[in-house]
Amino acid sequence: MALLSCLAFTAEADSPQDAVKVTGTVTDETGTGLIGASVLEKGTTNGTATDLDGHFGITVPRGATLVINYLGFLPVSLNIQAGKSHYDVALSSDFHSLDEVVVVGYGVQKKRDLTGAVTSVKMDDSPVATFSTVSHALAGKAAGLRVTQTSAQVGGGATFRIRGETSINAGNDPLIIIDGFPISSSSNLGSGTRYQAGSTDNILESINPNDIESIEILKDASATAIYGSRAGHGVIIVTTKRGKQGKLQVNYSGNMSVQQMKNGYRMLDAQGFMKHWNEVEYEKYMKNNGMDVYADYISVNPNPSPFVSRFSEEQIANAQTTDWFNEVTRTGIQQSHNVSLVGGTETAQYLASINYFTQDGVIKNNGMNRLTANFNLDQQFSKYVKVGLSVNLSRNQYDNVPLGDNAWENAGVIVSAVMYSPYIPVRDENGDYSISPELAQTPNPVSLLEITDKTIKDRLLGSAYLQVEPVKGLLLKASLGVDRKYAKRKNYLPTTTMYGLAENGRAFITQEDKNDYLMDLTANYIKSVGDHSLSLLAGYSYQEFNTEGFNAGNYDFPIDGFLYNNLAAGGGAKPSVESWASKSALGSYFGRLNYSFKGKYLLTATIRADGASNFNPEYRWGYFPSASLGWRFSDEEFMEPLNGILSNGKLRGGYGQTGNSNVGNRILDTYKPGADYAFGTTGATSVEVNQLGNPKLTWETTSEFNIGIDLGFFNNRINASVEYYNRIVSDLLVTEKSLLSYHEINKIAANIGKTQGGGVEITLNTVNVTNKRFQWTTDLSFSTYKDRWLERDPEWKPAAYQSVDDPIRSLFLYRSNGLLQIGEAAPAWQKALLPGQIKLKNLADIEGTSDVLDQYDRVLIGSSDPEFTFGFNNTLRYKNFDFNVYFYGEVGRWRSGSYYENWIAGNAGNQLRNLAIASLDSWTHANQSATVPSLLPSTYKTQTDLSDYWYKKVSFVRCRNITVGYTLPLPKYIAKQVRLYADVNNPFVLTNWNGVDPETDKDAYSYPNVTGFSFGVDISF
Amino acid sequence: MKKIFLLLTTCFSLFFAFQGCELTSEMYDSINPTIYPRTERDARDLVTAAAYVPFRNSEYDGIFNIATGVFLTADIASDYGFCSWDDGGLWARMYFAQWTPGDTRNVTHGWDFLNSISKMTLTIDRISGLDINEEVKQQLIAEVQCAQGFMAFLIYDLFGPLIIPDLATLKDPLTEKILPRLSHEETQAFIVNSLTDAAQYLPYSYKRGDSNYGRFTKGLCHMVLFKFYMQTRQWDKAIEQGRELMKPEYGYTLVTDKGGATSAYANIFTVANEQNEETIWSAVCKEGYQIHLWYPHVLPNNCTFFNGGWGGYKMTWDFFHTFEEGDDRRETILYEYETTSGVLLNEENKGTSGNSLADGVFPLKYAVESNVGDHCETDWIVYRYADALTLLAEALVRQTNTISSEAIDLLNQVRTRASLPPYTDSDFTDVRDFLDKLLLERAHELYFEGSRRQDLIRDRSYVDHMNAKCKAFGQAELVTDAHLLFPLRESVINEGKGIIKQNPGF
Repeated sequence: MALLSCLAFTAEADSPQDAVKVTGTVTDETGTGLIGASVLEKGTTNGTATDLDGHFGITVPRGATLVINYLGFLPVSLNIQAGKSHYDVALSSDFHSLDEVVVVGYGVQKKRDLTGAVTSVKMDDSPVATFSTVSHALAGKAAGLRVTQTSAQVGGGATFRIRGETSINAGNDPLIIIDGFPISSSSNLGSGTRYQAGSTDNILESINPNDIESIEILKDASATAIYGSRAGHGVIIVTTKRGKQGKLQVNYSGNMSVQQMKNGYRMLDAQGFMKHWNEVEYEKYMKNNGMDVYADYISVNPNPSPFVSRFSEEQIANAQTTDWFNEVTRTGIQQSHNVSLVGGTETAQYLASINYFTQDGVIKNNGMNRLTANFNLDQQFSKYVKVGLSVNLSRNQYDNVPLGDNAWENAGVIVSAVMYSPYIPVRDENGDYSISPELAQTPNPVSLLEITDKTIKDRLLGSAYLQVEPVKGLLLKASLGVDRKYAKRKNYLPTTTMYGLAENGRAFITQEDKNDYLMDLTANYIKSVGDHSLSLLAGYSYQEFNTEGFNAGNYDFPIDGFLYNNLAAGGGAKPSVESWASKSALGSYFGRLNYSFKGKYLLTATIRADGASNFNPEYRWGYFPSASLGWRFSDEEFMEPLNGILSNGKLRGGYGQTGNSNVGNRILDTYKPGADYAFGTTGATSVEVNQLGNPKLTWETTSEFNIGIDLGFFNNRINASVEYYNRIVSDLLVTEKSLLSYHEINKIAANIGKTQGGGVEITLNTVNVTNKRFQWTTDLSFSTYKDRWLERDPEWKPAAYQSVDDPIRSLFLYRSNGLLQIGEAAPAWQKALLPGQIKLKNLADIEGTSDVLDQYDRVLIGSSDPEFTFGFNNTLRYKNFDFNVYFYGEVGRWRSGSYYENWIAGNAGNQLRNLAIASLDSWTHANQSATVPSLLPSTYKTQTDLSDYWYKKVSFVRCRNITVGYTLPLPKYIAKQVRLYADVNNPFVLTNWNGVDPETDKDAYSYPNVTGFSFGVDISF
Repeated sequence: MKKIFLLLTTCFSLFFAFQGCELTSEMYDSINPTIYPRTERDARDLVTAAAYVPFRNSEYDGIFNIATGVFLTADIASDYGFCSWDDGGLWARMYFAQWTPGDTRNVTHGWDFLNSISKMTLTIDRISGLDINEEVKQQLIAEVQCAQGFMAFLIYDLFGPLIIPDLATLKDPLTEKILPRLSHEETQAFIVNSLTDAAQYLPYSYKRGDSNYGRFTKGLCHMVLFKFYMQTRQWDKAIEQGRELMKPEYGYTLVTDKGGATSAYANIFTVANEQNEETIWSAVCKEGYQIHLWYPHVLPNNCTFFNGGWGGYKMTWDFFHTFEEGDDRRETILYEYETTSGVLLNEENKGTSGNSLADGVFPLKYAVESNVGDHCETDWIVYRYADALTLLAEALVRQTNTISSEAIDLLNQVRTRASLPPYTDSDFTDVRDFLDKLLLERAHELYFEGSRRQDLIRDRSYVDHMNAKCKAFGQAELVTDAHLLFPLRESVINEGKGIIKQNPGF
């Protein structure tokens, strides 16, 4: 069971009283010298520290014991043997040191003293350089944090959900704090045209993943209440690396990836398309004339005109397939380079880093690059005063392509590529982009790549602090910061696109400037007397949020060449111009008390008072208290006999309140300009009431109870944490409570009802094997939650199928009853149903509706939340090799059909669009045993779309990455460390979902996910 | 120690200095109601928003928009309407009259304007107290009242009785007061009173070139009243309204010169002849303010004279065959054209898909001109005098159950304008025959102008006509009297908690 590397000592018989000079080297497992490890003679104050190469020298009495300590490693005791004066000590990593500090609100805390639910995310093993944003690396990493990548596009957005989604309308996003600065999303600017650019990460996109030191997930109210009104959905604290004492260390890491579309859309080719649509039309012809199986349903036409196929045999034989998806996709390429310099003296430490990341997405023309520069400095001025400065600059540039999932005239590249007729060529005989005769309003997918659409996002996150320690134990700190987010988007729709041509080109430029200012003043006092130790924090914080923006556009340009660079050249009758601005502020007082008795009995209490400018003064101040207790039972004397097995045991529980004020300015009635009109020959402006204010608007409050247990076995080789929580959200904020629909403004922001959420989270970290040559560690996270309504607004108007305590994300569906069979009479409530179409059940008849499918026939089938989510990480090291494989996934999420099930002839109606291959298995007069519904569209599609026919519980396990690294055994004078690695990102997904990707597929038309193959190098000098 | 003290003092003074950090919110781009409205400009802007914006036909906005507007919806749901698109079968449910209570979009679009009537009520209240020129104020208020009656009529026509809250209820939106739908009589009284009141203060009509052209007029009030009395089969009152509109003060006459167009009929719908004396009310279109999307919705993508058509709305071939040879109106319909690839499409070679004549003919009506791409700046005509003349003919015959020469003359005015020979007494076997011919004449004259569904319902032949259409298209014939109206949204029924009743059959 010994975790220490074995050290062989030779004995030498000398008199123990004599002093000897002992030298040695302290290294980690890989043999790298550890700087500043403490070397102390046991029981004395005689000690030293290792130098830059890990060397030490000390004079001790013979027979003394040296204790060598280094944070993050297990301590080693060394008996000084006679006759040996040089000792090489290799320290073993302390897998889960309880002395490790964890970043909590406005400070740090030792892990052993924590009483709240806090999870630290280890990024060490993740190939961070292979991700375009750190958001993508977090899925499954922390129990209780659900990260879902919303789009597989370049720099795609991700949603973070800590402990479910119990807010209805005020957002379920956690508060994200970067180096003490609570940040908000950057701008999401419109295109000024009918096209959207999909969803890109707007919150962590500016962070260089290599700069991240740690990420802490604060989950329960006792951990988050210190952030009060914005912490109702947890807090994510990102801490970036800072300077360290020591010789200048230069690190370079570089990475190069090639990305391949993982799963395409399985659509019909030209022949398949033409033959299939001929079949569809023949089936329709039979039906229209009441032939064959349709005779019982449609009056028979005694003199049908002969059937004429839309596509002749000859056309089919000669058709050339255009694989539209192939035309708009490519192999993606991604590279990143990161250089950092870290160093410092005892009084001044600095870090500077620069990072460049560039990616060409698998959809042509979709790309991004990011340049970040990070600098920080900590300077001790005197014994009492310390100052520091951090500056984080970033520029993200995106090349957007139209990616929205709007269809028909608003179709973007992907929508158009999957819908477009496969038998027409990319360009017609004149060399112009061909237009599908069937989809007249949908532009040619390749033509959409002609659009120039660029976004630039600049972010400056800067802060400075002054820290004074007037008396020992009392730390006063003042910090000021700014988060400036500037974004600009430029867009030109050229005449080579369908809708560019319609307007002779359209150009648009929009920009937005968001400036948040922060001032934090804190006082921290720490005191230990005997068995009592106490830590107190008090503070004041003020944050101001400013937004202003502007856009301008024009159309009807003489040439496309100007792009958006000469708006005045456009001849548009009324060029568009807009501007906007707003301001709000948040002021807060907060305090925290940590008390521990004998290090075993722990108490944390916090309070925060927040005043938000977006509420009226009498409803403005919210008070958010919390208290939690911890008991380190493994430290109790009666547990001592078990210490060999149970090395750590802590039970903790807490209760607290947090809030959510995220509704914007909605307390006032306001007028705004409305739509335009014209009289005579001139335009007219209009003004209307656009908002009904609710003066009584106030916080949404989350009250949460959490109980957790932390267990460590066998010297913490196995560590487990289990959390259970239950939260009630009251005064739920909604931005759009429905008033009676006859009102001029029939929506109002309001506090309505209550929801309840509860769940369990399990984290398990194990060291399966460890010895000098081979190590294997495993991390497992598991979370499950259930959210439901608890209390509704008194003015709630339920639909017939709703109940007071429904799950928040309920699915209310019609019950399907198979397909109508030949000869079977159509149900009275689906009189126009034809054989092969979906039968629905008429469940609850109320007077007068027995023959109508209506809301009374819908029932709750479940929630669209997953049953549980998990992450599973394995890291192995063998000699100089390291190997990491990471999985995450979710189980049991109700979802409706994928594109593959939905894009069948029966759902396509009479407009010929391309269809999924599954359509070939549709029910027809000649294929009566099919389970795929009829080729003929059902009259009851509104209802069947809301039926359970295609619904199923979807689960997936994604292998996020497989990484193999090798550290070159180079001499130290060349480089301190050189590691080469190869990584496969997203190599496979196991799932019962037959769409493109179980995570990034929304409803349809999603950006295809990719598999990335990368090669990288990490060098430090 | 002194140094420490200094530092402490500095820190604490900082602490308190910043306590003054202000907690204020600003929305710099909104107007605070404490300072608004005050001036005549303010009153005009509010009236534009309340009385006119709801009646827009601008892209996808307004009750008359080409995609979901009430006229378009009514025409698709009539015997000649067709749409080549699918949209989840919604269009098929429209043109075969099979809508269900779960349907939205076109089916519920009209009812969604119910609260615009509330906005109008509040707007009258907001401007009543303003210290501005009384005459201007009175006319503005009358415009809003006209809008109320007009809107109420449009909604009533599609959905039946309305919910009309009073001012006190509207001014206190936070106190919930679920109101039932009014009775037919109450709804009808609201329509009649609003329009009658408004008519007193509005000018008869605006002449060509008037900078106020497009504002509501006495003429519009009477036209809506006329239609209302027709739909409620109050023939005598309808006749009064019809005769009112024929008074010279209004100056309404049929367009009889063809200008630069192919016929006098085609000339009604041209840019050059906007604000013509036949138009009773039109939504004034102007690029940048209000433009409609008629062309892309109707035209195919493969015609030579327009780029980017979507090939949507059609008139069925069956109905097209009812046009007589030589009818000028037939020539405003695209029933034969050469495609961009040089193929001639016509009845013999219809082609395939929506961008062809396979599903029907293109009810073009507005000649392609004056458009910026999709956008059409030609004013969108809502009501015109030919409609009034033929309605009057119908009312006279229905009222007396005899075919008067006045009725025949009224019908002939419209008919001969389209270059067709006039009818004579002997052309009509009986009253029914006259009505059949008149309704067909109206359908030819007013195709895709939102009248056909009303005509058939008034004639009590809507269900038969629609079932015949279903049969012709190989559909089950399931249209019933329930389909004379559209269902209310389920959410409206839910908010009614039993007080708001769904239309029968849904």
